[in-house]
Amino acid sequence: MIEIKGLSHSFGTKEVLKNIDLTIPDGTVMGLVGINGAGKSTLLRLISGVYDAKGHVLYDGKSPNEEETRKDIFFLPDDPYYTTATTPNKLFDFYKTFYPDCDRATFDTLISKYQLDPKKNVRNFSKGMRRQVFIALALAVKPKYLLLDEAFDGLDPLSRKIFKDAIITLVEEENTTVLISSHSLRELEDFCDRFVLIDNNVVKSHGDIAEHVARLCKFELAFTEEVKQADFAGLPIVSLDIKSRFVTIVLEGDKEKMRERLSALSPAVMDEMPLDFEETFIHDVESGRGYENA
Amino acid sequence: MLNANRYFKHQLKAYMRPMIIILAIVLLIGSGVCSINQDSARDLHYSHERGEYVSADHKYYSDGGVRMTAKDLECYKIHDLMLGYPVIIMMIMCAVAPGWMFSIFKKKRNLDCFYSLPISRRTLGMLQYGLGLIAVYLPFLLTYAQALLTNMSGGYFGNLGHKYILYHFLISIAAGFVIYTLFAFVFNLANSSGDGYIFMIAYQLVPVFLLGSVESTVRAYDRLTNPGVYTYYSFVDEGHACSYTYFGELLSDLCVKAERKYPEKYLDRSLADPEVWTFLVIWIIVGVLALYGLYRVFGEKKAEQTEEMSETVFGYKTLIPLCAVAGIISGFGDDFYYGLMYFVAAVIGYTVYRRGVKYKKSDGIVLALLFAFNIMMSIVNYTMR
Repeated sequence: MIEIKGLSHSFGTKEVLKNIDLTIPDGTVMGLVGINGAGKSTLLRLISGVYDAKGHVLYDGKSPNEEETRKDIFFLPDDPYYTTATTPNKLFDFYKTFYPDCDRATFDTLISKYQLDPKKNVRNFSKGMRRQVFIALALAVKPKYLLLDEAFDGLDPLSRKIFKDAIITLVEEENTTVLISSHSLRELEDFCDRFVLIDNNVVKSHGDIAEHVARLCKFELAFTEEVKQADFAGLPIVSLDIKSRFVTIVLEGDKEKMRERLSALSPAVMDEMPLDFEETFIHDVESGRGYENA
Repeated sequence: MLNANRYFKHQLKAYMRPMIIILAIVLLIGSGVCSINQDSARDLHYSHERGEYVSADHKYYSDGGVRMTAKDLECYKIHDLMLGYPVIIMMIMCAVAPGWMFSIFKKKRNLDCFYSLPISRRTLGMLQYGLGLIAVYLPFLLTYAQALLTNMSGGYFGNLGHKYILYHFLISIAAGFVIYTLFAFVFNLANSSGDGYIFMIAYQLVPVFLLGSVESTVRAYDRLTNPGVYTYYSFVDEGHACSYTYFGELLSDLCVKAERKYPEKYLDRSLADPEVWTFLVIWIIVGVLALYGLYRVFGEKKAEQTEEMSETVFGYKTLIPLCAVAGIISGFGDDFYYGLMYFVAAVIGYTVYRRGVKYKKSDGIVLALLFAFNIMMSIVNYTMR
């Protein structure tokens, strides 16, 4: 289990993260989301021990600064290190020196699935191919804690599928705890159990993705006459878009109850629209910036 | 510890290829140096009367107005030991190795990897330091052996001052340790490789400036207390404050002693000077302190500072004003414009430090103080004339 208590970090006078509290149970796949510059990468660097944490980060009660703890952690940054003359095989050897249990078979399988030449210079690979090499390495290490920054960046849909399948297998077989930051929220929704949203330097929301999405409902309404914002007063509005007689509204609360309350306004047409994690994310982030009801 | 061993072996293997290329080049050049110098081996004759060597042609003739006889001369077969070449190679490697070994820690993306690996930063840094020592000593040892073997095969070894070869060798090892460790320390104080190289150069020059300014102050005081009497006051050899010039001169003198087998009573002045040996002790202490500093830096350096401006107190912050003040002081006897030169150098220094003309308020205050100090020194200088 990863426990984060009172974690703060500043770059000079600029505060990036403020008093972050978070618990990630073992075997969880947690998505770390937030807008650009929210502090996702900084949080991952603090959790992995790259940055010195002000506050507490504990892996089963142990600090990531201890060498023993780090054996269980693998951090894959958004732009990983490699030397100019390195190949996938050489990278494997490099990581094998630190993670002796690094599994050659898993690495070879993934490299083969990605159709990469393990003897070719990594510098000559495209961004996505390099990402594939490091994903293969991360999965071959089979760490207890896997921290991935911008994990899907540069990957094509097929590679994403291979990656997601491999993560699921890893979690099932090794009970690995995965913390993964990405802007591909639809990908995260596919295989993450939980999420944490960082916004304005703090944890804005976290929890089960499905529950988080289910707490909101979206409707499209058509009225016979023009409507105004005041007509919807008293409703738990997350967002409201009025275009003359046509309204798109996102409400927080039980779907059926919201339907009943909207029906009371006598719309000519009322359709419930599907809402996904990405849309809830947008609403969550916008609400903190006063964009709601815009 | 197991990870440290594995990492060291892995990195040793990784550095092997460039190291082999370096070794091949230095040995190839070394063989050229050996063959050229071997051809220049000649008999020389030492004149006790003159205290120096004279060529064989002047054996029985007057030379420079001094008549010499066979009795005055001792004949030595002298030969260039070629020990200067390994020292030059080592000195070059001392400057190259810090950038080679530690520039991987000067990029944020690299630290994301290295600082999250199951190995402590301190261990990681010290292992890289160890690899750097190998890069410094290996070419030196091989070219040293090459030079000695060439001498032995040429039949000159018996004529050499063996004691001085041993001194030369041991002091060379000390020089490699001191210079490389000092460079490694100051390079790692910096947040970028560029700043690291600037610090390396600064730490060779600034102590010379400081000693120069002390000497200028002493001399000025002398002029004030004894007006009209000019005495040249040499406080200490400024060259000793630069590790390159200090060890370069000392090793060169020892090499001459080893090559020419002087009689003990004709010790070179520099080798007989207690100041020279005092500085050897000082430099070794500096080397040990630099190693301790390096150990501390590896443990305490923050990853987020990498690629940022080098704000360490041992860096630009101190070096620029120190260097400018020392430079202005050393200008005693010169005019305002001499000091102005150091002021301009300080402005350039701050521009490099801030990576542009983005000076901070503190920089402006320091520059204003330096300008005022220069004016004050000019007035003092004018009144002393």
